[in-house]
Amino acid sequence: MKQILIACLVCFVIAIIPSCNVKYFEETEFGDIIWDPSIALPIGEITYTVEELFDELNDAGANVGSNDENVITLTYQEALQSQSASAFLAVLDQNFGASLSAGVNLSNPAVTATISASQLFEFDLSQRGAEAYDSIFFKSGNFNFTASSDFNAQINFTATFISLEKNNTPLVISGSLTPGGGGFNQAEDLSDFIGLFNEDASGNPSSSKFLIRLEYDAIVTPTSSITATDRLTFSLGIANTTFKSVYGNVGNQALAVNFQVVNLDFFENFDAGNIRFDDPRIKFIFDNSFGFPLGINFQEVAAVSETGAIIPLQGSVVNNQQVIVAPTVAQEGQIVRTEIELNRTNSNINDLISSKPRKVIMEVEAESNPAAAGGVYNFVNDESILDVQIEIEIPLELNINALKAEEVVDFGNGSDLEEAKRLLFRVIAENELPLGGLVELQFRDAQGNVIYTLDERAVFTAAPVGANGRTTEVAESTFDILLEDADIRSIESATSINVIATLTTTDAQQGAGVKFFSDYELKFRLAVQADVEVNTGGN
Amino acid sequence: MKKLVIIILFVFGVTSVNAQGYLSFYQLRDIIPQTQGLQPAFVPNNSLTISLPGANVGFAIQGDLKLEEILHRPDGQRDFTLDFNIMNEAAQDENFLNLDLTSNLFHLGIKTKNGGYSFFANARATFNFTYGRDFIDFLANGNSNKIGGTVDFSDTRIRMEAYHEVGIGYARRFLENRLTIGARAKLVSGIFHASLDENASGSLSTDATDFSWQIAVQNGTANVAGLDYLTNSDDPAYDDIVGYLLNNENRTVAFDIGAKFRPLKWLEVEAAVNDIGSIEWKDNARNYNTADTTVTFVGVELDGIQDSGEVFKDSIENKFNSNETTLAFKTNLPRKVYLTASAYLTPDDRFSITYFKSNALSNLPANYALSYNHKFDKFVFGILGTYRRANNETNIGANLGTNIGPLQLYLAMDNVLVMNRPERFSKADFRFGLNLMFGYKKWRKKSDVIDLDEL
Repeated sequence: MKQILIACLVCFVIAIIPSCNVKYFEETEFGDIIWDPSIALPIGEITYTVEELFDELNDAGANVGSNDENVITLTYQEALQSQSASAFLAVLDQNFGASLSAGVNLSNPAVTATISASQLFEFDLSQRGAEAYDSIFFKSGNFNFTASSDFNAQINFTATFISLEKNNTPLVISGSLTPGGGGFNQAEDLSDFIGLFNEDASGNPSSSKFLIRLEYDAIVTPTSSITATDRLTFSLGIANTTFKSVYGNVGNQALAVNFQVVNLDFFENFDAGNIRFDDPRIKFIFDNSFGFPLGINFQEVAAVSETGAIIPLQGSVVNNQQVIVAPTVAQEGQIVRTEIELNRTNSNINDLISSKPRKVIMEVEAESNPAAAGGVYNFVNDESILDVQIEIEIPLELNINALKAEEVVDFGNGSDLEEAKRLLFRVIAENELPLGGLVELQFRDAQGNVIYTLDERAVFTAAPVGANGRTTEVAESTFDILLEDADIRSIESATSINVIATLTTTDAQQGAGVKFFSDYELKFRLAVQADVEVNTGGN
Repeated sequence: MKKLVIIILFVFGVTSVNAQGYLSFYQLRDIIPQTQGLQPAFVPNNSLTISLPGANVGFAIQGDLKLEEILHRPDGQRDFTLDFNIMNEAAQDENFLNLDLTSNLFHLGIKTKNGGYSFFANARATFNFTYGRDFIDFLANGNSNKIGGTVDFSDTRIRMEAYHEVGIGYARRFLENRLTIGARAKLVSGIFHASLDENASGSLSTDATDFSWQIAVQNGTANVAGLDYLTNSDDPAYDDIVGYLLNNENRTVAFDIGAKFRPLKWLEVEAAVNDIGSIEWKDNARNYNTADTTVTFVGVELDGIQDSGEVFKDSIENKFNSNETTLAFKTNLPRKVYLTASAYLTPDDRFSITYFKSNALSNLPANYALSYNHKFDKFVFGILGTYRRANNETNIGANLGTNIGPLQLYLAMDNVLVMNRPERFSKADFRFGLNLMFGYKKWRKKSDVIDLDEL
């Protein structure tokens, strides 16, 4: 028995030792760790308010807000040219002159005699058209007075310029003229002088009257003589004036509001398809501190479509002169605003905006004191200004039918897809908007070539609209984007994605218009099922 | 690196006594004094035994995956690949991975008239990991197979620890040597520990529509101790590490008890329960806690997102209420139970059936062994077959204990066939050691000596 057991033991050991086989481990190295799970993961969500959604479409220019009805409104604002007082009104240079004779003959009196003369002179200011000034508060200017005499006697004179006051005191110039002694000349700076032209020589209210009282004494000595025709001659000039304010009537003058182009970048996102805006408006806003009304004539308002076609604005507001009100004298220094609105009732503005215009051309002319405004007392001061703005309001009350919108977004994540073998993107849309969208994605390389296209599919569906114009429920939709390995490899070299959306509002085919209220939201929840392969040997 | 080397040398420095299962080693019984680490009622045959320091080692690893399923080598290729798909295909509903490294620092055995004493010092390290099919399926396939369902991690458990022990053992025979009862008392010092709370559970549910995650965590606590010395990037001083290893507050007193009884002349039954006790980890303890919660993750707010990876991480982390504390915690030692029945055909020929179970983790399966041993003049030899579960391979082991002069050599393996294409197996172990024996002739079979007790 013992021998048998020993023999078995020996056999067992002999069998084991030669049978050692570790060939599996020979000439091997530790290589890759292969990990290729499929992870289903919620990526996250992004919620767009209507305002944010249209902000995404709006590269620049438009403000996206809401109107009183809480309907989202696109607003373009553009300032047209301003008109300043100095550019509008310049006081003409004035020149007046006259002479005053002694009216008596006197020869070699026994004793020196004094002959006096006095006269009030009234001149009319030089004006343009119907201009008529009551007063001018000068900021600067030159005043020049000259006098000469043909008396053979000394003349002592005083000229009182009743129409030029400073500190409530009229300008007075006095002087003497001697026979053979030459003329008299004196200049004054008109700063802070007030020109008062509102009374005539008789003291009656008037306009544009300049009054001067000239007085002199002729000193006739026993050796001199004067005749009745001897006279004192004077002249005055007012030149290069600027004013602080002018009162009276500026007459009927043109104010230039130049040609303007308003770029409507928003519509560049749209291609084919139809869009109809139900209540667009163009509002001209006139901020006027000139003390006179203005008449506005729309010379040209037109839309330029993407094809270059010009669609002119038509309607009563275009054909009729519009009046811009002005501040009264009591409101001097204030700005009075006048808004002129072009809407669907007074123009064809809805057709104009619905043409998806790229630009709107504006040319407006203005004139002072239009006939339609009646007689209004005028004033202009050196701060008077006329600012003209244009505001294009496009409330999103519209009908969209298969309208195509394009947006190119950068795509720099291609290299992140290296380990992805299959991707299933799931997009869940919760849409409160009465707007549905089909989306096609074109992946482009750096040269702009389309290297992969994700065919058009419904991304979000339009919510139904109730009788009150609001959507009645959230429209939910889910769609999957499946990218197999070959698709992902194609996308890896993409640098941009051209997103082409085809948009249609609720019941668009029936012509229904919808409103985009500001509280509407469009939420996307994004999830992914990613098959990845992490191969450490390859990395 | 230095600290790691020090700890490894400390833990695996010398001889082995305790074991993960070591069912083949168990069959050497009274011949090899270190088997007292498995069954305290074993009484060595020789009068005096002294272990050779550094000459007794033990290693055991068993799992549910064959080596070739972990280190996959595709046909015709030289490189190993770690392929989670292959592991998943081979996985069972419950899967286990157990690793045991043991060393014996010192052993002195003294036989008395009615039993024997032993004095010992050991160092041990164990790693136990159990995981369900969901866990490995998640690693391999992610959660896509469970869209609309739940990935349940609740049966995932992990525990690793190392400690050293010094103690004294005593065994005594009763009932005319038919009954032997043994016990060992030992002072256990923990070196490091890491484990998930025994009741920890977690799950990941994925919504079928939006793939949102619902993550549930209960009892989410991970306790660690002593790992700072392994993982801290600030290299601790040598003296600090040695000081911690030799003298720390992670101490306890533990016991091994065992008995064997021979009701019939040819029949012997044995039972042992080892590592009875618990350690309160006080020194260098840390607790990573996550409050019980169920959170839903629907992704992040995508508007204006910049560093998406960081935002994702923060978004998930912020949903959990987590903290770190340094409270002491208590763990039971990984208790082991051996039950054996042996039939003696002759005094030198024995058939045994052995049951082994460890409760390092609550759901670790038992191991079974059927063995045959024969005692020769100067050595003992045995073979055995071990069985774990239906889906694991059955292993054939062998053991050998020699008695060459005063030097005792032994070697035991539960799976001796692992040497022939080891990639086919999911279990490997060996026990090896050298002892100095005195009075060894007393256990040598001498047919011409009459045993008066047997008469």
